[in-house]
Amino acid sequence: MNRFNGVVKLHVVGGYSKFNWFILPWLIVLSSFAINLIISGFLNNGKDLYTGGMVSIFFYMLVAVMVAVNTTFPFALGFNIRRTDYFLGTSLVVGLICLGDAALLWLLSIIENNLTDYWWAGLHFFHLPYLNDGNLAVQFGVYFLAMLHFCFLAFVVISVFRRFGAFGLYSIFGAVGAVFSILTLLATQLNWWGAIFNWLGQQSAFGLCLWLTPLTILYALAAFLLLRRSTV
Amino acid sequence: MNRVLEINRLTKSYGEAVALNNISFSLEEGKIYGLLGRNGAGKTTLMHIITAQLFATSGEVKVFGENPYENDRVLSQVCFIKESQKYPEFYRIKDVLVISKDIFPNWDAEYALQLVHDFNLPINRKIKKLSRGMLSAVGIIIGLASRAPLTFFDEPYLGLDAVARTIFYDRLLEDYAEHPRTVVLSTHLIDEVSKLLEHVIVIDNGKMLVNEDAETLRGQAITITGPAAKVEEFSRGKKIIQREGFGGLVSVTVLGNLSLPEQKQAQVTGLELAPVSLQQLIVRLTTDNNERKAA
Repeated sequence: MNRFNGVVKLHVVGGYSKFNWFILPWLIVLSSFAINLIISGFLNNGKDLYTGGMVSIFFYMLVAVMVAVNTTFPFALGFNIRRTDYFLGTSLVVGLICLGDAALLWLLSIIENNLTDYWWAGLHFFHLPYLNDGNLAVQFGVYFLAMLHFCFLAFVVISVFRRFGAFGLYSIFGAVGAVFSILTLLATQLNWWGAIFNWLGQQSAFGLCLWLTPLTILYALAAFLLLRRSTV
Repeated sequence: MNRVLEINRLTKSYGEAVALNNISFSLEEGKIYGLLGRNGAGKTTLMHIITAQLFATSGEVKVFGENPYENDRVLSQVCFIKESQKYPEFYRIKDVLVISKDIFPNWDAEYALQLVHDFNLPINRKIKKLSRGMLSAVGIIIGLASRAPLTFFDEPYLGLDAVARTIFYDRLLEDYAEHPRTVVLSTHLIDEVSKLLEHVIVIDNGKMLVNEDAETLRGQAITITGPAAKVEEFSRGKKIIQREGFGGLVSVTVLGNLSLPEQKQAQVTGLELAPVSLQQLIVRLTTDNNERKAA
């Protein structure tokens, strides 16, 4: 159990790791927010400003997870930590960070939508149409499931790299690209596009996030199996 | 004696290249071993496999009687300090010590701090910013303070100055006396550690070359120096592993012990006998081996 604690700790030990996980992503989001707030303050055309600056935190997490796993996995192996413990501890840390970030985004969206009337400036930054459809629980679910999906996508990509190296990573990207090309071609040939967009149009943001969840689980499983066979 | 490690017909190959070739040996509890060999002999690969960081191509590794792969009972009892240990970008020395406390069950935090002081390390400095010697010192501190029943030091003193190396040897012996465990020192700088070693394993080109008690090994060769003719006559029939001549003088190194009458005879004929250092012996053995292979 102690050694599992060790894995959790190795992700968040010291000021720098805490800064990278907890402070830096929010500095990025909030500076984007500040800029947008200033812009919307100057926009006097009576129209609201809609912006997607909030998604920067999702991409930040994507990169942060890759960097973290790439450096902490060899360290953990060198310190004789079981690969299983490394995977579980890392998943726990990543999951908790997703939970925390989702909760903050959710709170900010409530402040934006319910308490400040779009920051008294007509700025739609955290609370966006479509994404924030549905009740409060559903809105939280969208943030959390989407972020979890991004993080485990990063986890599996970097696990491919740890297991098979750069060449393996390129091969997988190539293979995924090829599969998508074939599917696109098929969809065009068989006139599926209409049906596909119809279906997508009918889904709520939460519905789509629910569809992402089996993928997230698949990524986690694949990352686990890849790390189990990875070496230093 | 309990066996802490058993290796049976271990082979590791990368395609055509064979890093370890059919290696078998075992380690007993409470000894200091030397794992010696030239650069690239396979020492680090071997220790990586023992700690399940690399996978063997064939053969069996048992640590404390069990397979080490994904085995916390085993892995928590082993500490492998390697020269190539990677640390995350932002770690400071003190972060590594904090984590080690959770990772190594026998970790002695106070002792670790004492060692930081002994080695004069800047505890708040990032690992990335440390000199090679300081980095080695961090490894030594973790290896000693972890008090793992099986501890590997792989080239532990790269870049360390003479003072720091002496601190390492002193602390190792002190702590080993108080907390007996099995220590494996892997190095190609043999002379400095030779006094510490109780048992020596030499691998060369992935093959086991020597697996011998250090005392026995030290007595395995002797250098005879004197006038060429006399030396030739004396060493006839013995296995000569090295010969050097300067002017009329010749010095040969022969394998095997000299009997008492032989020693007396040598003295009478005016020949000088000198023991061979472990380092010289191993240098001889490994170069010999390679030359034979090349021939």
